[in-house]
Amino acid sequence: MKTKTANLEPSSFRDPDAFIFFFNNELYRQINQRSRENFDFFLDSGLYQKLVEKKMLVSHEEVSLKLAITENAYKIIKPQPIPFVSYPYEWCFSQLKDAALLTLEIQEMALAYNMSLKDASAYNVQFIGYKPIFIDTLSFEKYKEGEPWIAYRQFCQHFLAPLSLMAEKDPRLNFLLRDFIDGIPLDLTSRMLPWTAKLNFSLLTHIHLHALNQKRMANKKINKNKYKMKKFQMMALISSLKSAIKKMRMKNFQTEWQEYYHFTNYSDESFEYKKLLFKNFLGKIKPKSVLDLGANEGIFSQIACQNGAYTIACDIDSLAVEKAYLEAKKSKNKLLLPLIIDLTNPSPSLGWENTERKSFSQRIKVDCVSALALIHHLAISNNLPFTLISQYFASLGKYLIIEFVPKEDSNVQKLLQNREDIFDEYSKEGFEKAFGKYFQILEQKKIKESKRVLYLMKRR
Amino acid sequence: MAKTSLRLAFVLSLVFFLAPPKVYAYLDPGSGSYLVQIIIASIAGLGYLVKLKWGKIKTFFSSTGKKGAKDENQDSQS
Repeated sequence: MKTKTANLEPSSFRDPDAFIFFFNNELYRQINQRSRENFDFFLDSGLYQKLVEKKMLVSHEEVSLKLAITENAYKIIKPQPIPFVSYPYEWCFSQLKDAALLTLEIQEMALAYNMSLKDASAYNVQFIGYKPIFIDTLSFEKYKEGEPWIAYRQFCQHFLAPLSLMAEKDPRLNFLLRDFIDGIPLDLTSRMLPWTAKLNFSLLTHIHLHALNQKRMANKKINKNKYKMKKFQMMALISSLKSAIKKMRMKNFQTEWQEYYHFTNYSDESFEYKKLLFKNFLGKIKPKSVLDLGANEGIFSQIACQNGAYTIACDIDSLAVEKAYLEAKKSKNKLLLPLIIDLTNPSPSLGWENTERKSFSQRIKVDCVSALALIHHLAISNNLPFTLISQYFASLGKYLIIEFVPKEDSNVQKLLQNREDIFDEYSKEGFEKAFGKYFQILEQKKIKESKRVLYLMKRR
Repeated sequence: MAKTSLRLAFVLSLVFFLAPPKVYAYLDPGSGSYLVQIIIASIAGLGYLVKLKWGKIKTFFSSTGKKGAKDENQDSQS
């Protein structure tokens, strides 16, 4: 009877201690009897209180056991909601770095309270705006004297491996996390890193030596009574991981981005005018959530935030997202979540039965979609028909603010420079006809000193 | 102690010059990760202790240094 109205969340099947379910569209978590001791210790020791006070962990309230799904329920909790669930392969370098540091700081604090993290999965961290927050209240267990950190390998695979690859090789390598759902294998990381990475003692030990030892010890049993780790040694291990991660920087990043993002063909005046138009359109519809597609470094996303909307700023370029995140962090913007999304190939559903991690399209539902200076990239660079673009945008949000960039525009001309113009449909009329199928055009304004037009549309 | 350090230095230089072989473990109980973190934690732990006791070590050496100097002075006086 109960299971008919409640839906189990497919991503939480791995944990025998607890699972997540939805009831009346709200998220709950059932804590099973077997984790009673650890969960009570977590609350009674004061660790939970401390982490919530410091905003490092989601808070929760205990609700009636009547909601229990199975008989072995010990407690039912209702965790603080997260505005939008994102995944590590959608994060830029600094987001993954901050998530890693949060995990290590939590482990340090847990050790001070005689507890330890049993998981160090990057999926246990979420972002509320610029701020990473730990979401797994059931990851804490009592510290056992002499035992090493059980989550060490997972930490290296989920955090250290992708971060080192992004820092030492290429920031786009975070996409490997999409293929390796339990983190990037260390032998692969070790083979991909440039040889100079071996000069870094932390990478030499945590990645290369670790990978070598995995091979050497594969299929071997270890005498756990002989090899023990004292608590101060575990603290030293955590602190060495922390300093290794803090020191990580993306090579060539500072020098490249300066020149990288100044390719707009706007005059300052028309850029300011476009900002004003965008602000006016937002003021008319007052969205609570905005999805800014092709957000670049997030200048227009910030306007949406100022308008009070929780804004997800997506861009294909990891360096643009990096810049947007650093800016959000600097201004402590809790409404701006920048993510790396390739709109022509958004994150698919992954994992067991393809249900463990939801696709981008499954997760995203917003009040307003904005697509500024994007349509020519989709229609011309990617040969996407207007109808398909408008159909997809209509599935994402109720309102649409979209900029039409005509063929005469110098940027479109650049795209057509070395190819045949097969885009007969690409005109203002063709655009309005195709988008009119899914949207009602509420308003359109010409952008001063340019041939571009900004539209406000509402889904039919 | 010296033996362990030598062995560790040997392993690290091996890691430095060799690429790791591909891991195709069919049943991997994670012993490699277990052992490697104990090795790293032992090294890091040593540094941690030195840092923690640095004051004491410094005073120990400076006091023995002074004592030595004092003894020499006394010797030269006598």
